[in-house]
Amino acid sequence: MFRAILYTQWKWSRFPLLLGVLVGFALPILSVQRVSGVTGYWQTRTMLASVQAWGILYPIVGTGLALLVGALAWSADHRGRHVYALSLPLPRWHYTLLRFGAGLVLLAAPVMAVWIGGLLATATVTIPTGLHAYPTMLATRFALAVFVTYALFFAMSAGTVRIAGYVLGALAFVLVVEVIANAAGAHVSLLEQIFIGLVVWPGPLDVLTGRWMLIDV
Amino acid sequence: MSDPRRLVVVALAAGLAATPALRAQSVSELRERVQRLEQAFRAANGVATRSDSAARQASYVPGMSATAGALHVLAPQIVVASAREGAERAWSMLEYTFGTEAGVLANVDFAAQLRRPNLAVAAPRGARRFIAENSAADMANRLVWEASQILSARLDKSLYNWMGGAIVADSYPARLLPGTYVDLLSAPSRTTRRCYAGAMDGCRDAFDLPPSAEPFRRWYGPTERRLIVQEVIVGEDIRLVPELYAACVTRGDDSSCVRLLQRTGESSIPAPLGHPTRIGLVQLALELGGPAAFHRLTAAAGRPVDAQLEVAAGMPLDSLLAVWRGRVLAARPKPVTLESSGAWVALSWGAIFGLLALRSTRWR
Repeated sequence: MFRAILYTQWKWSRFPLLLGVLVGFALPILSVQRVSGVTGYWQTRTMLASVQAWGILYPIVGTGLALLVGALAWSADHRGRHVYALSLPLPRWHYTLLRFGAGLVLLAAPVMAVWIGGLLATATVTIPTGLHAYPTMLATRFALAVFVTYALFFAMSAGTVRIAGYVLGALAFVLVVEVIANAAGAHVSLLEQIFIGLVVWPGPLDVLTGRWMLIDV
Repeated sequence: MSDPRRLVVVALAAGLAATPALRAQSVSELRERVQRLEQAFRAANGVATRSDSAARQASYVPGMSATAGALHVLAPQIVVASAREGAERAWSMLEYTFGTEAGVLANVDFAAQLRRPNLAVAAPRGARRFIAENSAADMANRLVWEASQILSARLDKSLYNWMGGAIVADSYPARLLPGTYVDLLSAPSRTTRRCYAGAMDGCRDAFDLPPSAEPFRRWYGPTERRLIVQEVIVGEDIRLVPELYAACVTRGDDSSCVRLLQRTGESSIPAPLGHPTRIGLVQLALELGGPAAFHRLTAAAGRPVDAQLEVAAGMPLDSLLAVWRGRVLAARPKPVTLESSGAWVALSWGAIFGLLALRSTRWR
């Protein structure tokens, strides 16, 4: 059963996944291009800045992949009004677990690509004294970021339109309260607080923030 | 400064700048002129500031006194509590950095001027005026800044020039050390790498100690010199000496690069360890030298810069540099790490979202 679901999900999401694998493999290699060009001691600082600048793309790529794979996992079910799933001799939780697991297995490919790309990139350049390569740490962070965001988007996609409506309604309510409160002269920043709650430890998206450096001190 | 006065100063500066274009000048002559213009601008700015202060005479109020240590502050009555607390905080920082020599501040009156509402106190002639908010923290910061300028002005001129600025008392000077660690590794000079590796002569060269006439020769090799010329010598300078520039950058002739750098203002050539790091080294010398260190430093005026540092720290220069290097290495910034708590939180959130998906009401 799992193999069948894995196969169908692979068919639905193979293009974004292959693109993710390519990008994930290329990112570390591209980010160290300046390391190869370091002449003497001149451009080390520039190189670190370049590695840091490329690092911004890791959480973006991870989140994008997670969004696509999480949404595509349910798109066929939504289109078919869940008739296929209901016809299976499985409880819903079991079916959902299979879909969730299949997505995770598929997402392991871009994570591996980042790891292998990182290992290859750091093995092919001479890293200046005192700096170190962190390909495994970077790939681990990437894996966790993909896991969390995939789980989030998968849960959102699995929900009903009514649930989505509740979430959007709550956000709209917060926005309206903030606008009214600020108009009344009270300094309220609910959206900012919510955002901070999401991205600052122990928020769910904390893993996306911070510096993503393949090479660092 | 008000807009009309600013316009006058800018017009004056522009006029002065336009005149020398009538004859050819060397880069150093041009830079000297720029420096003179900057000095003229600062002087004009000072006059304008005093003029602005005079224009606000109407809002002068009687001052109340706030004293902490040798700091004597006159402040409008409504902020005297903040001034007192600020002075206490400032004094502890000043005493920590400048030691017993901070006592000379007893000869100076500080007069606080409030920004909102715009109030100034009547103060004795020669009082050091400063503008601050009505908060103890801001008062402390402004007082520390003003007092540090006064105390640093007592230093030997060659030491001051080497530092490139005043020593400003800081309750936590170690905050610069992680940045210095990165500088040691990433500065485009082999001197910092040698220093990082533990060679004290590398540290001395990186700090340009004792100061040399052409420190870029100590800092950079031919390749780096050519790249510096490429990065630093731009625009007008290239037009003035095109043949030297071409010989240096295109043909890689090091003697041309050196001649170009000799024509370049010293401040334009990037030092591997910048002025804040040099000031940090002096602050370390003061810390290691104890409460009388700053007094010894001022008393050593006229001696070579490295000797002054030794006198202040009470130890040989290499020992001071070794302590400094040890502190820098100990302050290594955290690399990109994934704390175990962060990993567990991420896994937990993933599991929670997964469970939420399992419990969806889609089929009910």
